[in-house]
Amino acid sequence: MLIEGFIGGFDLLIQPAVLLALFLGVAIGMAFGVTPGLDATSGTALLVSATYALSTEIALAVLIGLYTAATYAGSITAITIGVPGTPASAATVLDGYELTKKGELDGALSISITTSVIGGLIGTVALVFLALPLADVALAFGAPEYFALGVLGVAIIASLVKGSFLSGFIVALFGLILTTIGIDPLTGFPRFTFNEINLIEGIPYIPALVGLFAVSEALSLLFDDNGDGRVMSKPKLFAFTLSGKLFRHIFRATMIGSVLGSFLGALPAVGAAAANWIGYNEAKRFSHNPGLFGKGSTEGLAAAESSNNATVSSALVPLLALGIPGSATAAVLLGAMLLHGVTPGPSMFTQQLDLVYFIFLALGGANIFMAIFGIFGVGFWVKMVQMPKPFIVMTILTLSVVGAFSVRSNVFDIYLALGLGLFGYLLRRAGISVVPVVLAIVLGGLIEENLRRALIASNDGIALFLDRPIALGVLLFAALTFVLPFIQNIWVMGRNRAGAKSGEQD
Amino acid sequence: MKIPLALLLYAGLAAVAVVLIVAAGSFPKALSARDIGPATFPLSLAVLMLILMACDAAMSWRRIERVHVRVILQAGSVALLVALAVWCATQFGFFYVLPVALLIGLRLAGSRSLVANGIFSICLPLVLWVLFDYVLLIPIATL
Repeated sequence: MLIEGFIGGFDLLIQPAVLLALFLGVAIGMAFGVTPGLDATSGTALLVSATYALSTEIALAVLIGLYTAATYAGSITAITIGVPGTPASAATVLDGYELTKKGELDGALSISITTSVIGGLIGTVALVFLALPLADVALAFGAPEYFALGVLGVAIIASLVKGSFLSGFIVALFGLILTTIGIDPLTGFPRFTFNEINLIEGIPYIPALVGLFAVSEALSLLFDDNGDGRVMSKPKLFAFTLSGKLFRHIFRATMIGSVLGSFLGALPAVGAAAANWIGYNEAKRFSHNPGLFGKGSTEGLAAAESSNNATVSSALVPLLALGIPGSATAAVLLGAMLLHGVTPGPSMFTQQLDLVYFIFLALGGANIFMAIFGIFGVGFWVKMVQMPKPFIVMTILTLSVVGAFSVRSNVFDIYLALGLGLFGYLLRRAGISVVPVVLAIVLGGLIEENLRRALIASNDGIALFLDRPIALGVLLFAALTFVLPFIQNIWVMGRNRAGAKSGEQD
Repeated sequence: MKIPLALLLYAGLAAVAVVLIVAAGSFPKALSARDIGPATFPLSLAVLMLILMACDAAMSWRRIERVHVRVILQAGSVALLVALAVWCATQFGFFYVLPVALLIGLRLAGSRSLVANGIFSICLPLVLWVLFDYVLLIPIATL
């Protein structure tokens, strides 16, 4: 059956239109990734609606290509101008930009593309080996388990945001509340629509994603300081200079980054940005020259780049196997898949196995196309880094308007995207992440529907979870993600107060 | 003037939560004794959000970063201008309004080159028109 799935997936991938879509997706992803302030998430959110009229395979190929390439391309910006093009390439700046300052831009870009592709391919292998058994286990899941997994998905993301830890939970709750607008799934009663016909179907998630990610990003680019975009030196169009000796030197760091990134990416909410730093730190620990890290270490660059690209594929493990997105980009991809009538989760592995393998193979293919772009045309992408900010902002805003409108051909959706975009920007300025809102919007329906289905199917009320050990365990873990930081926060506050009092007495 | 933006946002969210709690009072009861009905889930979320906001405000109000009120006004103005352009597009046609909106937007965003602005304002709508209406077959001219 697995061989059949593989052959089916391969047949889907090798269609010329699908390969072209994957190639174009990689090109668009490169453009988004090199633009400071834009990343795979906002790029995918902007492009989802443009894929609406395409076939499922072509749409997924475009989005997978974009997602894969945007994560890598952020490193081009990090290496050339010292500003991470995406959060996932923050650690890349440390050594990548130092190498550029030493006049080794071509070498740094060569290491970046080579290790990114290796990381991406190892991450894809990890996705195959982790998603298949996990989906097998998840086949036994019912409504209580899905409710618990939905709660866990939102809780983990909310608990890991920067700043005040409660703020993540607060905005996640707001996102969940937004999903209760519209027709109640079980009674058919219109909730919180206030006689507005456009709200009957609820808050459409594509305009919400476009607003929260893309419009807020455009506002952030317009008003916040995102670096001056000054390129120190320009690479040649063909800038690949990696020698066999240098490859052997960076091999160990690349493998450390790739393996760590593969496993970290599979954990919900860890993501490429965290893997970028953890891979970097671990490679430093195992390096023979840890003192060089941060001063232009080729090993440091290799570890940072391989780790963040390894997470690209493995971050899809919870999405494909359980139907629960583990990252913001995975949440957008879930939205795209639902838009095309594909429901990720264990049933996909039994009913649409060829599509599952198509996704695996497309991720591998995207890495190969990415290598072509990275090796032969990197000079072109460096030029894009210098694109003036007003043009980037106006392009994002125009694509946001078009993207929000095109799914339902409804002008109301544009106003909704603009409103949520403004809300998202203000959240960012207040130091609150928008990611929990997005995840809650995507998972809210699943959480409420499965809770109510579980309760209707049971005679025990809420006590039904006592008979479902997996659901109970997942719920307890979700509760821990909330309670532990809360206790830690109270403890720190108490210690600070005690410190302040003793200071006053002294 | 600087304001604690997080607290302002919390106040807005609290107002939304209160409106929803009041509105949920008129929802019908559950169809069966086992179901929690259409009101319980959103009500629980709204109440929990209010509690957490009160806790967070109490715990961190001294540390909340103050943001210049200009930030809110600037971002709000941009959103309003885009909304105005969208309204104009519904009246006069998307592909007629977009080049003008782009020209004005680029100038306001700080791009001073009239030639570059003009070329961009013509090229982007053209690319979108060809891409959406002819390649992707998604009609956006009807906006």
